[in-house]
Amino acid sequence: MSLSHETMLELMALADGELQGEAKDRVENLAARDEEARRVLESMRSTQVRTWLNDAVAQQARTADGIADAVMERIEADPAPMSRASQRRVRRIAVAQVVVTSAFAIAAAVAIYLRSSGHAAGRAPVASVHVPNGVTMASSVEVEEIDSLANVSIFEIPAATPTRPSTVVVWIDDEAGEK
Amino acid sequence: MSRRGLLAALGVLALALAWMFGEGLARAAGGKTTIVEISVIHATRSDGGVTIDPQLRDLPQLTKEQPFVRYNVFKLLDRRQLPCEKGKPAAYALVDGRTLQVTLIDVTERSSDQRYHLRAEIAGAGKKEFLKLLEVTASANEPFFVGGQSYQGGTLFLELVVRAG
Repeated sequence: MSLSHETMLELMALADGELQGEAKDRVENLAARDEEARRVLESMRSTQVRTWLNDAVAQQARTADGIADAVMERIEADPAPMSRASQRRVRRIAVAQVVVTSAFAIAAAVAIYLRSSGHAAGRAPVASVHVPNGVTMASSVEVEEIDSLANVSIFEIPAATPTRPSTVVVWIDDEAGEK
Repeated sequence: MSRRGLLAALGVLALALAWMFGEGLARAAGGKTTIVEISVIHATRSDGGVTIDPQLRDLPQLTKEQPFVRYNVFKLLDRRQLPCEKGKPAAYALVDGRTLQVTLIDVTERSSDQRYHLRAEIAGAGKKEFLKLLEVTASANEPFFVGGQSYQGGTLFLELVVRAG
């Protein structure tokens, strides 16, 4: 349903003959232009619906939202005032709402996944000493990239036994950098 | 229940399912916490013989090689286990006032072995950035060292090792 709560209330007021002057002209013009407004107005003018509306207003006057919902439910339940085309349109709107809700849910799932897996975390570009293709030492430790203003050396210390990996030491010359 | 109420309930249900689905995906992608153990070793040069802190069990075999051979006294100042979550930097305050920041970038499989891609940065203490960026990939329980920070007449060696969870 695309009509706002305020418009629904105005249509109800027009159906009850409570509007006058400029307000009445405005709502009548709306009903003339907008097919949905016209159908709702016609429905409200039917005796059956109007009787029910009075009950609905008495019971649910606290929230305009509740009134609008109740009106639409009643209109849907009454086959006479609403045409098949209008029923199909209401059904299409309901389906569209479910589709939009599902789209939000999928978007939320993707956002949660990206946030948790760290894909969204960007990295500021830095001037760096790049170690080509992740130089694999005899050790299984791979130094992928180093960036420092100081002098950098990489030492590889062989293991005492061949079955053990060698040790990698990244040495950054703090004192040379301070000079 | 009104149509709008029903839709609202469906929306809440869909969001709840989305949250569970997203968390499941994140967990499958390595969202669990990994421990990076950091040992801070103070190395100095003295006139005496070699002295190695007994807590540094693997160090003696390294002290005859560069750059360890420049020093003969090795003392463990601190050993800390830092929980690292993928993509979230974990900070550790060093004794010289600088801060070591470790980020687990990714966890991959290589011949049934899990490989941990880590990023380390060291900065602060009013000095220039010591280490802007270091990216290393290592298996669990395979240590690597970052040395060279001047500290109290000697230097600091940081030993970093991923402990499998």
